[in-house]
Amino acid sequence: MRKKAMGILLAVMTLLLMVLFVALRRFGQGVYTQYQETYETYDQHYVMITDGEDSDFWNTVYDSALAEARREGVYIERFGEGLAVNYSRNELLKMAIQASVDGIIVPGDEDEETIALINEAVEKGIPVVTVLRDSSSSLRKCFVGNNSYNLGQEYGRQILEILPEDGRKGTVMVLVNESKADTSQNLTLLGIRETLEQELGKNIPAVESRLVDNTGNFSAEESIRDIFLDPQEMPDILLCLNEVYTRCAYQAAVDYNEVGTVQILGYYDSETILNAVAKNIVYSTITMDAEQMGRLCVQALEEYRQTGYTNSYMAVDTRLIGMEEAEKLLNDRQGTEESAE
Amino acid sequence: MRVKKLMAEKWKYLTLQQKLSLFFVMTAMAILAVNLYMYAVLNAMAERVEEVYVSNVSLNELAQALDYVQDSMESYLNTKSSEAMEAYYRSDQQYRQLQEGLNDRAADNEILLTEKNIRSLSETYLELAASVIQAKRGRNVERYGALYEDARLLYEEIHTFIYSLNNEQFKDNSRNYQALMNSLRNMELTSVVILLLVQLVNVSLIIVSTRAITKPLQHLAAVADEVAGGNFEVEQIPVQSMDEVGIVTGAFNQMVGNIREYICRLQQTMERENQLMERELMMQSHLKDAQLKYLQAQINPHFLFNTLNAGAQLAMMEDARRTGEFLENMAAFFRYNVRRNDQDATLAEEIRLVDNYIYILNVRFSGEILFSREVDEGVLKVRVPSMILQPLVENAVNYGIRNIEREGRIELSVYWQDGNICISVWDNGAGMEPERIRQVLAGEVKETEPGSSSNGVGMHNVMERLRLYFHGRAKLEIFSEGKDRGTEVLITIPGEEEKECTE
Repeated sequence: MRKKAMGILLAVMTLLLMVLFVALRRFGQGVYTQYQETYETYDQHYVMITDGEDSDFWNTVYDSALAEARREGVYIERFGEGLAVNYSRNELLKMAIQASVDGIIVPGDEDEETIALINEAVEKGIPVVTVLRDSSSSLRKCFVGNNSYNLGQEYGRQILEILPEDGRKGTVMVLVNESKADTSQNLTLLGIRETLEQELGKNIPAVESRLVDNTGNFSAEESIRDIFLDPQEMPDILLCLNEVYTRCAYQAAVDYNEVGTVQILGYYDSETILNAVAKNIVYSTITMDAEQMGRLCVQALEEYRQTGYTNSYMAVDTRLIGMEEAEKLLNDRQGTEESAE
Repeated sequence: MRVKKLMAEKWKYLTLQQKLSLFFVMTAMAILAVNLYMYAVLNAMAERVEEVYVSNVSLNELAQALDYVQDSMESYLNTKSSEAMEAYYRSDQQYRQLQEGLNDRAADNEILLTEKNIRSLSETYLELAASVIQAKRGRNVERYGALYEDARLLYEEIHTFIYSLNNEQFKDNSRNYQALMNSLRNMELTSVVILLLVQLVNVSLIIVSTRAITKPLQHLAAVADEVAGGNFEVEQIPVQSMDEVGIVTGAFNQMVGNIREYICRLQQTMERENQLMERELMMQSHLKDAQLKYLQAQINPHFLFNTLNAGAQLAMMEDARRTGEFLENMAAFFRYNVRRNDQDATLAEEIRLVDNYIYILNVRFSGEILFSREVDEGVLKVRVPSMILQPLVENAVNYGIRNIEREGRIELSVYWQDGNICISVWDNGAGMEPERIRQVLAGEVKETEPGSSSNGVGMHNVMERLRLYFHGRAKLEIFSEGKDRGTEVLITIPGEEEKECTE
């Protein structure tokens, strides 16, 4: 009896000691793995440089590009993202060249400095792909984006839809980027005008372009609000050519109770914007397939790396989203989110 | 199984001290092992905690080295001194060494990627710096001015990268530090819990083991207590181990067994002795009976014949009344003798027997004996051994008055004196020398000599029977003033006998 009890106690003690050893081991190892983050290495190092505006759009582009790149055994860095200083695109471009990366994806423009940098990169053997906006006169290997003129035509058709059938009067304000080098905006404006002219002849409503101050960090939002504060300036249709402008315009319309008096045509299909479209605060939005865009950028770079040449233009699909479709898209996304959960 | 058996066997032969020491050492070792292990693990973790911020430190070193390169380059540009040149080369070397430690492969980890960028940028920077120095040496002012500007910009950019990386690493390290501290705390808690559990088990183990050791002792104590209380019929205590307790238990068992056996033997001896004593007592009483019977049987049959002859002669001569009387007395005398042969009798009966005897003697010796008696009526019923008076009277006749010329007298008196009953037989006969008295009282005189006319119940016989009957409290004395001056035999018996008998 006593011997039995003693045996049991000894067994319990041994068990306890074993549990202790295993538990402490586990702890130690857990901490160790926590400490040593896992990572994978890649052969190629591409960078993607975006504008200062940190929008959902670029995030989507980057995510899809990264996914595509990983499949190819390449890593894409969002260059300058984690830096303590906010460098301009061109500064970042220069740094990327100095950092001798293996490929650069950058939204271009027709600025000389940009073109010079792109050329410098290409000369140093770093292929450059322009995305969304082109630097057509540079040595860039490929442009991935939509046709700005087509985009303008699409917007033109939307404007025609909004304008009352009888008078077809009204003012259209297009919010454009301050950068003159961004020629794509001009193409878009041209597309709009020509579409309107085709339909309405010479008697088209005024389509004015409004420069949005892009210099400061939050200046875009301020300059858009300025429009709402001046009733004289208030157009009938406000056309936003990027995601941030769309969000700013939408928020300003709500804040200043101008929903209905001004029709907003937006850009991109983030959830906020879709919500706005579904509530009819934003009339419609045109989106580019951001995922496709990211994918195509990587494909262009890979193609060039492997073959030495690639298409100089890759088109990205555009899509118009009205109220009904916005609702449908929102429902779809909710569904996928829930199923993902 | 065999090992277990072997261990159990070994365990059995350990002493108490060894057992206790083994237990305490074992439990202490367990605690020590746990402590040591925990200490080692905690120590390893603490070391890891120390390492957490190492990366920040090395980054700071890198930044300092970069500063050094830039400073020495500027210094050279300013002074073109050989010291500055030397310093530049040293710093360049140092910086190159440091940047060797940075990652140079693309990875999906922000920190590693930034390291790669810093490394690539640094290489570009060092090349630029070298170009600047080269241009300065070649006095190409325009060129080194432009290159310096580029280098300066890049220097600042690299600083930004290092700074950002430092920040990122710091965040990361802080996270790690937090995680480490958390697990450290968790581990401490776990350790304490396990330590407590181990301690608990230890305590239980000690309790169980000490009980295992002391239980036989307690058992032994209880049994010893019982034995001390006088109960030897206890069961044998099983001996479980060969330690001191085991030895004491064995010894105790043996001791109890021995005591039990001893007591048993003692009891047997005592029983046997008792039986012996009983038998002896019975034998004694039988002997007494036999002695009495024997003594009574010692009465001389010659006397009977002589007397009967006398009676017969008388009857032949006269065929008269006196003969009848004589024979009557004879009959009474012998009847008494026959009836009272083995019993006691009252004094009255004894006195009547003396009367008969005197009558018979007077018939035999034609009235020669003058017999008188003086009897206290109160003592007639006192019981005495039978046949004690007649032999005294017979002695008085045979040794006292038989051979004297003068008239023989015998006096019997029975009276109370000081609570005792005194029976006195006095004669005026031959008397006795004191030496003779002593001899008679000591029983040194053979009374029943062959040819003697005594009926055999002599002085000694009477004395013995009185002693046995009264348990030595009766007294027989002989008084004589000398030759021819008569003899008195005085028997003193305790008076309470009378009361007892009269009740």
